[in-house]
Amino acid sequence: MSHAPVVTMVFALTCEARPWIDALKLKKSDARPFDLYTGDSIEVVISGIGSESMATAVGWIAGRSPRPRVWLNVGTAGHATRELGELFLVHGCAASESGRAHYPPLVAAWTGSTDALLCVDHVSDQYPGGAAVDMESMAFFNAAMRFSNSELVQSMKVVSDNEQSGVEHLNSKRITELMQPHVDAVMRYAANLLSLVPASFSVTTVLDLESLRASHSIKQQIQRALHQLAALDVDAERVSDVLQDQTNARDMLTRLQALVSNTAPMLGSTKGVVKEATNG
Amino acid sequence: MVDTLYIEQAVLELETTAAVVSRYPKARQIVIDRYGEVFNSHAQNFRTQKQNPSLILAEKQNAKVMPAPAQYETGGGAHYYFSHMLNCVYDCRYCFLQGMLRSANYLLFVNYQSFIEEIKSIAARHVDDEKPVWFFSGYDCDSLAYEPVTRFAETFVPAFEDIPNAVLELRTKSTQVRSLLAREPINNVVVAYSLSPEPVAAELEQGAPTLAKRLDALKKLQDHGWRIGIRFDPVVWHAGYDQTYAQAIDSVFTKLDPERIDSVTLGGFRLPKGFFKTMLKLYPEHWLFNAGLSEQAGLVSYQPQLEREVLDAVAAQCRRFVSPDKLFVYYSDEAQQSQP
Ligand code: SF4
Repeated sequence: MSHAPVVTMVFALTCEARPWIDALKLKKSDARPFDLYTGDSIEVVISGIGSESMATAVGWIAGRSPRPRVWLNVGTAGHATRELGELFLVHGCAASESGRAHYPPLVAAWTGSTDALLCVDHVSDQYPGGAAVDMESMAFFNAAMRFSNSELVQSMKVVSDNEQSGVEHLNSKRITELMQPHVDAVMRYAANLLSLVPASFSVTTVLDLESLRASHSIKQQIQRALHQLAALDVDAERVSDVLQDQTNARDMLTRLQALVSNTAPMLGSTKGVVKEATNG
Repeated sequence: MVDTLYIEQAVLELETTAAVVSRYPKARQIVIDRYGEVFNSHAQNFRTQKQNPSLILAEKQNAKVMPAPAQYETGGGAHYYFSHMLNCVYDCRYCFLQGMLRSANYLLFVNYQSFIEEIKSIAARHVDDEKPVWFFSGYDCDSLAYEPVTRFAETFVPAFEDIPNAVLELRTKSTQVRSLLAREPINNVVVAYSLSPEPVAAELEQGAPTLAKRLDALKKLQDHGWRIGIRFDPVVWHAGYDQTYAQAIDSVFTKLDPERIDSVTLGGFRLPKGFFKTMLKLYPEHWLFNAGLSEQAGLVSYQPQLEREVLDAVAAQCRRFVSPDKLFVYYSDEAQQSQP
């Protein structure tokens, strides 16, 4: 199973997602209960309308694999004065005008517009407080931030209705048309988000910890010592040498810790310098 | 370059706010109620945010000046610290702010006048003390690094002219000393530079000026008549540290006049355990968090024997140039013993 990071895009409706599904030639998966389309480093989930569906869909896709994810909710929103079809990144989101707001950290590069978003329970033709209005964003943020850091959880909206042209003018075809021009801009932003995912740090396996007869605490300390040696860039071979002929977990720990203590980091290189031979 | 400004409603009209905002004409501005909504929200990642921090302009409410821990003392009387800003434009890998704060955004408290009033009222309480009362700035940020935007020193330094029983210590690594060189020095302001040998700075102090540039700034300040302090804190253990520090110490004390240095302080790399755990999670691969450390009584620091060996060696180098009464060495195990 791949552990490469993936862009997970969550849409409420298939008609909103259609331009991405087509442009990126995503394949529909057999997975249920949510419609899922996948491609290289990208997955598109259709949650359905409303908070509950959104939260469930986020939990469902996160549970399918432990890959590191950046999350992008893309959808439509109403706004009093913005032009129909305008795309903006959400810079603040609240469930009510007086409620506590969530401000997604805007770390990934984005030069387009941003706006505040009010998340409501019912379809509405009211556009209070100069903010945009949608029905899923708050649930999206709350759910996705359980699985990724908030910098990697973002929402982008396309204006579908405003004071001049209300929700009664909307249908699936119209929604797809409004989303269509934004495929590239959204994907560029998704790539910027993906570039923020930290590289993972792994420790070369020199020891089968699972099969070692030792208490949980000793195993943890051995693991920590192996981590330290990896960070000090001590060769796996050298670590194996130190452990040679050792079967007792406590002795292994003592030897590993001695090697850590005797390894001074060397500036300008990650390699540590072992001060003296370690015989345990 | 900051591309997002969060501005608290309460400070929208302040002059300092307007001055800061004018530095970033292209930044998006987001008006917020309280900074905590942005700064303290959950699931933030310091390392990720450090790639592109936003700037938050806010009002510091409640106490602005706090009693300083004993280890800040450099021979003065009562000591306090204050933070007009949290976070820093530099990115030192050892910086405890990474472990203490959820956010890497710059949080600037722009109600400078309330800070100054509180400093004055605390100083007034110490007016009969034998020694002056010290106010430290630059523990939760660098005092001067953001000067062109914040005008912090330009505002606070003159205020200390009116508080003769107080000393302001500006802790910095920055070369932004123009405002200090443009005016007459004040005898109750000390500019304390955190220094590291060039190879340590290059590896661990991203974005900060090189040792040579810091020394140039120090020299100018000293020649201009400002009181200066030197901080090797943290001293970082590495292969060949004795030569690395010896070279740096030679260059520091041959460039500057050791007689006219206020104090020199040394301390090993150390962190409260909770901060250390957070920082190890942020940078699991970094050697700094994986070399020579042990934990005692909630503090992660170099193993006691190693710390003594390293600090004693660096202190011995310093003693070649500075008198013992000006040199302060902080050993983690002694700090722990003196804790209540
Ligand atoms: S200069 Fe000081 S405050 Fe700034 S990152 Fe370095 S240690 Fe932290």
